[in-house]
Amino acid sequence: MVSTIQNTDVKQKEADRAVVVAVTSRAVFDCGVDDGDEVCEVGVAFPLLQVLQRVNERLEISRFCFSSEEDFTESLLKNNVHLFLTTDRDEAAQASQKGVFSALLNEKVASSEQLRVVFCEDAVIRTDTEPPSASQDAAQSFWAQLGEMRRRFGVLDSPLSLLLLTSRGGRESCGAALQTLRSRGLNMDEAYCLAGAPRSPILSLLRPHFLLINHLED
Amino acid sequence: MSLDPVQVMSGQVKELKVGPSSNGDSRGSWEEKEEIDQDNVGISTKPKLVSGRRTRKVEGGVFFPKPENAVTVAVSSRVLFRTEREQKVFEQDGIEEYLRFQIEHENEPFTPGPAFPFVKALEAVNCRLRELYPQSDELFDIVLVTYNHAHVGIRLINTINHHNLFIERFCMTGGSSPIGYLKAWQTNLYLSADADKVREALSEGIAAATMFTSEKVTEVSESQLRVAFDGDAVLFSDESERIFKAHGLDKFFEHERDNEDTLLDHGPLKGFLEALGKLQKKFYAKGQRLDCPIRTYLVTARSAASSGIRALKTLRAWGLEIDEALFLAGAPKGPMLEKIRPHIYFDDQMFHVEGAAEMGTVAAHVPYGIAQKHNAKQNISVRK
Repeated sequence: MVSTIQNTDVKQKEADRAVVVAVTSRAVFDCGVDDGDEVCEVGVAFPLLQVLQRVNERLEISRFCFSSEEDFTESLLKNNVHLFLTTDRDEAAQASQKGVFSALLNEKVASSEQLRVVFCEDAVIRTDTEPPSASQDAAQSFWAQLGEMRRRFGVLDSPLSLLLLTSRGGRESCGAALQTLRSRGLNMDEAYCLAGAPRSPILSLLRPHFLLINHLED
Repeated sequence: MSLDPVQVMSGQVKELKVGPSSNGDSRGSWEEKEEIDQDNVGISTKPKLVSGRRTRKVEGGVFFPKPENAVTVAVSSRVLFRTEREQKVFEQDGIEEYLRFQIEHENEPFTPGPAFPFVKALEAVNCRLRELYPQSDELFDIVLVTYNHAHVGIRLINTINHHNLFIERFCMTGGSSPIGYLKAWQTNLYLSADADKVREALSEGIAAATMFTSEKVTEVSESQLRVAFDGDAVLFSDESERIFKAHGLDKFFEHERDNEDTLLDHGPLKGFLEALGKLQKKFYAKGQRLDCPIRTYLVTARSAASSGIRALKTLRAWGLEIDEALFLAGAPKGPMLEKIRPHIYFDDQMFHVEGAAEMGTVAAHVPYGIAQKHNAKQNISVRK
């Protein structure tokens, strides 16, 4: 059963111009034991929503959508969701297979002032031998919109920041990734080339809200 | 005071057993070839893989050292390369224009900066280390840590390619502090043009120094890395310097004599000297003491016959060898450094840094200790 509840407190943007982001409610609120009328704790995605709000204060907002578990992919498609965020890897894989671009929410503390999106190298560079899958098309579409959004802000004080992280390759693969992203209209704010050094210390410093990766097993 | 400087060789020969197990394993995961989308590689020059020079292929892959095993030297883009023209654009026209300028000149490599010869010398040492210990990742790892925006990334990568530098790791933080990343990389030395960043690094326990661009640079060796250190407030703490500044030279001598057998406390660059020593021992273990491509120098205003003794005893107690110790007894350091031709000289006093630079030595300022209060009072013209 799907119902879409419009948030009447904010102006609704034209559907085709907005970037629709769906977040599972379990990530927004941590309800624990359902006590009925008790107010829930804030969940993992809360800083993300605060930050999206900041981005939106400079743009303008969208809609809230609640859906039940069984047919959530249907509702994602029906609502033309550009990005689906969840902490559940299986959910993300499921949605991705249906052609909805999905990403994993960072469960550690993320910034609440600036939306930080990390592009991982393997999501940027891919061999052109296979025909693009539905999920890759979804990815491209989302990225194009992200790039456009980023361009609306200046270099400094932007509420949105794009970061490139190449884990395995050296400067050649980082350089190639920067070129590829630029050709798709995305100019990175920050770039980190690890060349095999451990990722998690760097990730905990970057404090991204979500990582864009190709393979969800990463 | 014009006493002849006295050279004292540190004569200790330690017996060291370096077992094969300490050389580290080669990493399987780094052996995979990188898949690069050829259509999108717009970089002007690909690095030439000249055997015996830059990249070492280990079983088909390229070898990246583990941060905890390597001696990590982090350099900023402004000290590795000369970026004065771009700096001016930034200062006069703002950041958007600066980035636009950088992108417009993306295929123009930067010219070498003050840290460039030092980095080249580190790579020369790496070549020698790889010859002797092909499987080891106990090497110098040079990391570019800049708070430039990633827009400048392609130009920096092009420049690194152009100069054939082996830099595979970098952080472009887009304006935020690089200090966290320095710690994450387990940085052994950080070189920057920004004194505030250097001070921040020092306060976090990372050896760091500020570098300046100078017009006069004398030629240095391409095959032997030479690193020179001041003693007080660089290798050692500034405790003795405090006495000198507060109570004068006589009191300083008296204090040093009375405390001859008390070790000096360590200074911010002690760890880096230690790291150099560990790599030197790898050469000694293979019978290459005389031909060692790393040479270290102590260049101090202390006197050999008196206050210098405490310095030597301290170094010995720390188990640190220094190849040459030059006790100048107050004589100017410039001429001595000109003879040594180090790739870098660390001093806590701008007076000495500038004196060295006047004679063409690349000198880096360690903004640590009591001398900084006096530096602030002087009208220092920082050469950019």
